[in-house]
Amino acid sequence: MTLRPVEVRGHLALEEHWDLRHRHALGRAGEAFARGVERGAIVAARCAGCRRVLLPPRVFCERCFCDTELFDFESREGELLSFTVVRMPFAGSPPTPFGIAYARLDGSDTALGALVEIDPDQADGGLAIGTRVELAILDSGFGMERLRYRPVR
Amino acid sequence: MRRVAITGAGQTVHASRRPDVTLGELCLEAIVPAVGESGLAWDEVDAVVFGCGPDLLQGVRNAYLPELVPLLGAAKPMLRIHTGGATGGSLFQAGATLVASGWARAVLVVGAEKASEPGDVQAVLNTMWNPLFEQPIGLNAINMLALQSVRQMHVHGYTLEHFAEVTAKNRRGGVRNPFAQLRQEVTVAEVLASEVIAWPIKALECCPRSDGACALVLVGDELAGRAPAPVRLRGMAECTDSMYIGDRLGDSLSEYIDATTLRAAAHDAYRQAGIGSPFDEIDVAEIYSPFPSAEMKACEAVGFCERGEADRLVETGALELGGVLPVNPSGGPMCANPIGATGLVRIAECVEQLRGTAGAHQVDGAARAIATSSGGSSQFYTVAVFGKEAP
Ligand SMILES: [Zn+2]
Repeated sequence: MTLRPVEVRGHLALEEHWDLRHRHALGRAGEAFARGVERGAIVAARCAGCRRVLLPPRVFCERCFCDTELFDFESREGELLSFTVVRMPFAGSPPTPFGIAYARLDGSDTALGALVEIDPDQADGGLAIGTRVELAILDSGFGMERLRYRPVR
Repeated sequence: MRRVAITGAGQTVHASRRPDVTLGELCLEAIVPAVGESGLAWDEVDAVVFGCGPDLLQGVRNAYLPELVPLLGAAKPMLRIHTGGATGGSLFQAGATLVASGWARAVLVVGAEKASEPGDVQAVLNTMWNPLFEQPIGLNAINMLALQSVRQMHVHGYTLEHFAEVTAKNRRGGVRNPFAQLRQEVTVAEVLASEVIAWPIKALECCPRSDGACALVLVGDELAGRAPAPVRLRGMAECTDSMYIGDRLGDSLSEYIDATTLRAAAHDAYRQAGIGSPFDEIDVAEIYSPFPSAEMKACEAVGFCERGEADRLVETGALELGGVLPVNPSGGPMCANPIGATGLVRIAECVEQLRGTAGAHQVDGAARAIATSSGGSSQFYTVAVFGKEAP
């Protein structure tokens, strides 16, 4: 932490920069998912009670109040349920413009959010709710950086 | 449960930047008038419930809590609450519960924010999301609401013009409200022509980042008479939804654009208040709507119209000051959004409306009012219904 005096509109302020390291545990489901992506797999959770398939995976079903089991989910295609095309960056954001999409992959009961390929020249990125998308696993990056939705042509 | 009354309400003028005060000093600008109105001596306040947004917004851990603790003299209890944008609503529910339970006779509730202090508010808000699954895909407050707006357009047929109309309506409210931060009108054409931040949200549809505070004094019946015009709590509820946005898209039990849990909270609050037909029985609403699509969604969820029919309310002018059911006559969060205070400001505005002291944005004869708040990725919802008469 460093603090230095600065003037803000006629008032004295202290400017501070934080350089703190955090190490966030991924958790049992998250770690299985992240390691899955490394080997080209999508790890989902299935509830032992309601049999719902949940993405992102999690260890407990909040509707049945019971444990889930983690498994390799095969489907790579599904329906686009919402999206946005982001034009305004913030610190640490993916380079703009970029697209965020939520799609429900066939056989899953929830939608997984991931980055999506867009046509940057169209305001809506050339995307439309209800259309088919596929989920690709790219060769580089970590975790969600490697996942990319693409419209199925 | 004991009945609860609001006998003091104070808010600051909300501003883009208050470099002259700390967060604690800003709070005092709301607290002193609120306690003054209540007719209570300072040491009659039994507890303080305080809230602000993420510590990273202030850049100070436990943002200035110690500045507020000595306010009431020694040995008074204090709680801090943070439910994102719903913080103000949650503060009220907690404070009112302390009074209703009989644990406290009088509670001071304070919400505040200095969103001017961090260099990049949206980068701070991005850290609210799960670091593995959500942060890397670029979620922040604007992008998360954009995902909602796109889906409303597809499912309900809402248009860019509807969103721009709501924006223009709220900005007209800001012109009338001396506490608002944005006090200039904008036209529908100007909104539509402003740059896209995240499709379909335009720059002029985004709430401002604000420095501001709000405080309320909540009391039971035995202290309500100390103030000339106590406002009565008629019903309140708080409901929370699933963590992931993707669990709430096209799901039969929880739909992002239906605000299913806000609907449940409103239902519960209306049951307590004895309200059967909210559109007919409520006179004024202060809705937590930092973006126009959020206001349309909330109008459906609190029962002002059927699902997907908020466009009719916009087209007929029902939500305007002078309309059938004015929504956010103060301009609402689109004209000032000091995050931790915003939900409380909604309630303070209801208090002014029911007292008849709202000034240029007064709704004539307002006798029933509703305030909502919303936080997280539309997960935390609160509803409170107020009247002039005790239940
Ligand atoms: Zn289950």
